[in-house]
Amino acid sequence: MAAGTHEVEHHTSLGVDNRKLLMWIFLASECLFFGTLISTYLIFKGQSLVGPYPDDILDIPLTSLSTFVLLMSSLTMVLAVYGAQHGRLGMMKAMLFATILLGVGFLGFQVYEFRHFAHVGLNLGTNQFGASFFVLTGFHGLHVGIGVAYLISLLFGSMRRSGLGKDRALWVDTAGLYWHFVDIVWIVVFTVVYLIPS
Amino acid sequence: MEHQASAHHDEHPPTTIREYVIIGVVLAVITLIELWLSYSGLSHGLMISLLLIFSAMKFIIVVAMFMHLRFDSRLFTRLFIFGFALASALLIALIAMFNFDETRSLFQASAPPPAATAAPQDGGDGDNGEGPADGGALLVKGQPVAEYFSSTCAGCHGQNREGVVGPALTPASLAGDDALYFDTIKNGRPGTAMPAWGATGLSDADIDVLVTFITTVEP
Ligand code: HEC
Repeated sequence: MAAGTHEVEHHTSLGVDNRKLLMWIFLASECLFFGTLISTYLIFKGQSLVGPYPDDILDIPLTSLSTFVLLMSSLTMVLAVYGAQHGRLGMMKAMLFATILLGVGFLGFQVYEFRHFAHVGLNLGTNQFGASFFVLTGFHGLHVGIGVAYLISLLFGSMRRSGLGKDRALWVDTAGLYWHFVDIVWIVVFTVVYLIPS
Repeated sequence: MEHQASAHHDEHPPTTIREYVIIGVVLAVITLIELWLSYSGLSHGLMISLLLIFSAMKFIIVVAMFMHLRFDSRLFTRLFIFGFALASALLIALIAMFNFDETRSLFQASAPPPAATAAPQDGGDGDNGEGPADGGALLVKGQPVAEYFSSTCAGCHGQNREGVVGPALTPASLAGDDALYFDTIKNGRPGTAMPAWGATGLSDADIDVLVTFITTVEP
């Protein structure tokens, strides 16, 4: 069918790009992945028999700052997609770079938080809170880390080849979907774990 | 361009840079409102509802505008909603399952308690026998005390109260004062694995029942 007629576009018979379709299917399954982790967190909520308890150690202002950083990375990401789609290569690269920096910044906050918690005596095995908190936010952090690597590979890729076809725009677009998804997961985690009082 | 199928709908989402930036500012402002809310001292229910509404707004804005679902193929929207709905159903089912309180179940309330059946110490599957001989007449949190013990305490004190991590809890092994055991159950033993059950919501009356159970009822 479409195979062989185009080098760059991989439309399915559905009329959508293969890579985007694949990414959306993947994200739909990721909903279940994080849904399970969030459920576990909620089930364990208030069940810890020993401290530290969430109220003792969660730092809401600091996490609001890291949430802000991640939100802004979504903005730079969407501007990178915009640059790619409108053939503005410089803008795309700059915005990809900014997104990578903000993503690394978010991870920095998380590393600081994890180390701080370990310091005050909360780790994976301390209590139900520790177990479900670290697994949930740890897997989210892992997703951010993978996203950063993904964007770095795109940035390097865009430096090697010249020109900016529709194909490149689609790669950036697809990476953007992943990145924004990781952001919305954090929107939920931030509310459920940090903002809602126990 | 080269592809015919895409000619009938927009190549790019019609959003401009300016609009994207405004959306970003809106998202940041919502986050600030959320932060303020969490310190506002509003009543629990109201605060939680507002927080959920605001985060749902952020969620939808990012998905619709940044992930372009508003402008993209409907197929993607359906796929995502499908995954999201499954995840929500999973969340509701799991939480309902773990919060299920059998004493409030319609079926249990009307049915007479089952007659004494199999051995009482078979893992607390909810089918332990009835009758004072195994403490079935005494209730803790609306549950026969033997059941409560086997689901809550037996992990450390043994299904037959023979002692595992914690010591044996049988009339023969407990020679001390009831008040001591009451205090141990209520406040735990700091520095040991014995938790403070008073802090987990176990009432004094329930603790009394547990003390009577472990000091008078043979396993
Ligand atoms: C996490 C493990 C654990 C759980 C669960 C647990 N205990 Fe204990 N319990 C212990 C340990 C360990 C000790 C011994 C403390 C010590 O060394 O003084 C103990 C001691 C006791 C004692 C004092 C015994 C004595 O001889 O002084 C009583 C009474 C007791 N537990 C009752 C309960 C009851 C009732 C429950 C359930 C509601 C329960 N425990 C659940 C670990 C546990």
